[in-house]
Amino acid sequence: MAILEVAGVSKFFGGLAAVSDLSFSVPMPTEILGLIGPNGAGKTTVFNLITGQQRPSRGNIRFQGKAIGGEKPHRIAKWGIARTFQATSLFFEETVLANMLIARHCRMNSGIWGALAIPPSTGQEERMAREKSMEILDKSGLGSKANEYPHNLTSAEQRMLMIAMALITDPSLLLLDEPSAGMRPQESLTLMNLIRKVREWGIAVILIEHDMKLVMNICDRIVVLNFGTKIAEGTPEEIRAHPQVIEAYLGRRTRAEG
Amino acid sequence: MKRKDLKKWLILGSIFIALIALPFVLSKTHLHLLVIIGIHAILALSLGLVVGFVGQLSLCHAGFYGIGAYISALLTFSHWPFWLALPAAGVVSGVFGLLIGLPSLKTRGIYFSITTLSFGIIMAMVLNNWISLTNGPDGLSGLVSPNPIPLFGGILISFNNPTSYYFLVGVFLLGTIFVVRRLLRSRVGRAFVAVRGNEVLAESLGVQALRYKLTAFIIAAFFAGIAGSLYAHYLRYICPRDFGFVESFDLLVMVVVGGAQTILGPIVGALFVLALPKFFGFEPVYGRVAFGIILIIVMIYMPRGIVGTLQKALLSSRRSDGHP
Amino acid sequence: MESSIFFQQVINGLVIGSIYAMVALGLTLIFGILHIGNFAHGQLYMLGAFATYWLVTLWGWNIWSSMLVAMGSMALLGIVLERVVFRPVYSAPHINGLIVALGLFIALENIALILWGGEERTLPSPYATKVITLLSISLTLQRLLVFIISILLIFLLYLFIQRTKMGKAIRAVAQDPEVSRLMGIPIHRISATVFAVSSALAAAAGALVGPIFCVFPAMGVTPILKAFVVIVLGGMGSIPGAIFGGFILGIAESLGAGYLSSEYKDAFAFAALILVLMVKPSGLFGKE
Repeated sequence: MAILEVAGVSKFFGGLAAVSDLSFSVPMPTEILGLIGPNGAGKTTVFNLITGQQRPSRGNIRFQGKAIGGEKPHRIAKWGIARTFQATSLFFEETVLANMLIARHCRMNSGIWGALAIPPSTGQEERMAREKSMEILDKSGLGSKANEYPHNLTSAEQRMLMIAMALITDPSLLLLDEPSAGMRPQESLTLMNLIRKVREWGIAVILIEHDMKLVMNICDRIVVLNFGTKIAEGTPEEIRAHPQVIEAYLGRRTRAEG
Repeated sequence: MKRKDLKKWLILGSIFIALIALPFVLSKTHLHLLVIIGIHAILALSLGLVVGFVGQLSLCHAGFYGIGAYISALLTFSHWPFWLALPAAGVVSGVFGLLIGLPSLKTRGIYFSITTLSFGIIMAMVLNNWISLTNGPDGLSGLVSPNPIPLFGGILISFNNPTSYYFLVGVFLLGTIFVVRRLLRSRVGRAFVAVRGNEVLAESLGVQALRYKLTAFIIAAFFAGIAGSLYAHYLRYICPRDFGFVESFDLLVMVVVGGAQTILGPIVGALFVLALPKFFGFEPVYGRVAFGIILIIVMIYMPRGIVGTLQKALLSSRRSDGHP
Repeated sequence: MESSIFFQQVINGLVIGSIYAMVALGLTLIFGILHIGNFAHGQLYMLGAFATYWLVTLWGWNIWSSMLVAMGSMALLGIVLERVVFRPVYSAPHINGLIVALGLFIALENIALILWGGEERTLPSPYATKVITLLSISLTLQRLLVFIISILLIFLLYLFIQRTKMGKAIRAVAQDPEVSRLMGIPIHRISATVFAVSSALAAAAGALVGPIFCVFPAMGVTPILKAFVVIVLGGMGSIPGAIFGGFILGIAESLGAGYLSSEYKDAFAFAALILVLMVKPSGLFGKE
């Protein structure tokens, strides 16, 4: 049973097809799949369809065999799909640690009774959540910043925090939307190592990226989109040499220049 | 660290002792005012949950206050003891919080405000027009005081005077503060903060926004109902005019001027809104003009309210000091 | 005869509806530009009525010139309020704008109470007593004039928005404020104009209604609440929504009061609002 199966999915906005008859799958829990394409190709829309921010007009999406198309985002998160957003999305009025604790919400249980009476189970749950938060922050290189506020972090650190928050929800599938945006080469290297570690932890990854070095280096397979349709799928070597892919990227550039 | 803690406890301790001594030094009129302020502090604090933490302007809060008052009154007329009618009033208001919150919280911003406003108006209208149940605009009079509580040694605490009611309301206010504080420091409180901070992000992390907005709304309604019961059996007379749009607006002023995202804020706001006019011997009309203008000025220059702005200033100075 | 009662109620509904439409129009225009639900708009209606009242009773002016001067002075007041009260909170979250509007709402009503007391006064009008009867429907001349003048003013506003340069600028800002600013459209002047026009409309509504229902400081409360219902139902920022919504509400209320219950007449609007929002949380014609 594949981790994720996208079958014949389309999304229409009015008359426009943002995504058109898209099919691909993530077969194994240790796969890193790259999703690339020129700007406006529909990549973020694909993410939105998988994580429930948008509902597919047509087609099926199955996660570990379960149909998830059209479900609400909070349920999909609970079932084990986590994502980061293209724009830096954090709780800016809370500390880094508080952000992590918020993200841990769906794996904790205490409700109002736990809040008021504070039985030992709640105390223990909170302690474990803190430990787990620090553990993941350390692994993301943010351990020393736990009590800082996000605006005191560099932009690269903020983006790593988003990934750390996604990781603490214990996902089986992680969707990263342009995680390296605005990062310098050294920072991208740290990011790449983190993504490799994520694979070691048994979490499948789908990666939207514009940084081709990162993509070619780290992805097992790549799906290429243009104008909402899949134009190629294969290993990095295959994609690198794929004529339609080159056309899609180069063609745009020449048209802009000409 | 220890010295700072000691200082904090000394200050709190002295305030506590001062508050306990107050009823024995103040005149009856001032004490009466404090009781009313205390009841409104509970109301404002509960509304603060919705305004500050859900982040929406609810304009029907006085309706829950009114439901609590009337339910409590009607139950005691049916020979329920006050001490059972009080929690029942809270629960019934909470149920109305669920009924009204569920449709209202699916909307947002101005839509939410207008929806709650509409519910508030309908609630007030029903209280006014359902004469067989509520006696309409004439209100209900002859309500009982809370039943006396027996203490050790045969001493009976009765509640038909401002002094004991002051302590009664004080206990409930402390209870409300305790509940709100505990809530805000818990997983539930974190969910509130998340939903208010960035709802899309919160949902993507597994926090169901509607559920937590509704939780805050219901808890707020519950406490408003409790406040209603306390009010009804203190004044021993209630009428629909006490629970209309004007009251909802006043509660909002208390929350916003005091500071919506704090616990102390709404309490300070209640003190401010109710005590200030008395100091100037204002006619109610002049007071209301002042409130309108104060509201505008606070929103423009101190958008976080009195307590909120103070807290933020304190926090930034601490941050620049390098403290965590 | 049942059908004549029906038509009588419909006609009454149209008259009231035209007032709702005028107040709602001003409200929706302001919302379209500023995204602030301006509660205080109802007080401009009230102050317009009072201005007309004083001009007529103290200085003996005729009702038409009084109404025009009231419209002008309320337009000026609107511009002042926009500059002093609303402009400082444009960049803040919308909740602040709502609260500021509420503050202004309460302040203005109580200032009127201080100045003029709470008694209900009738605005004297030569048309209030003349009754016209057409096909067994009777109508005071005042009511007929309310309807006609309202339609006229609404039509003039429509022309203004659709045909004039300023109107097009207003529509541009309502659709996309960022792009409009980049294109150099003077947003502050647009806001001031919108406030002026909306306030003038509200003042006219107050002046027209004064002879029928009385003039008193709290008179703006119910109309502004109903106007909010109208624009939520008709779509925030939508001009046709405000116009049609106003008339539909007027007729529905009138029929409801006649056939169902006159005690809960005011509740219909709010109940309708709640029902609609439950099904469509962004209003009948809302986007989002």
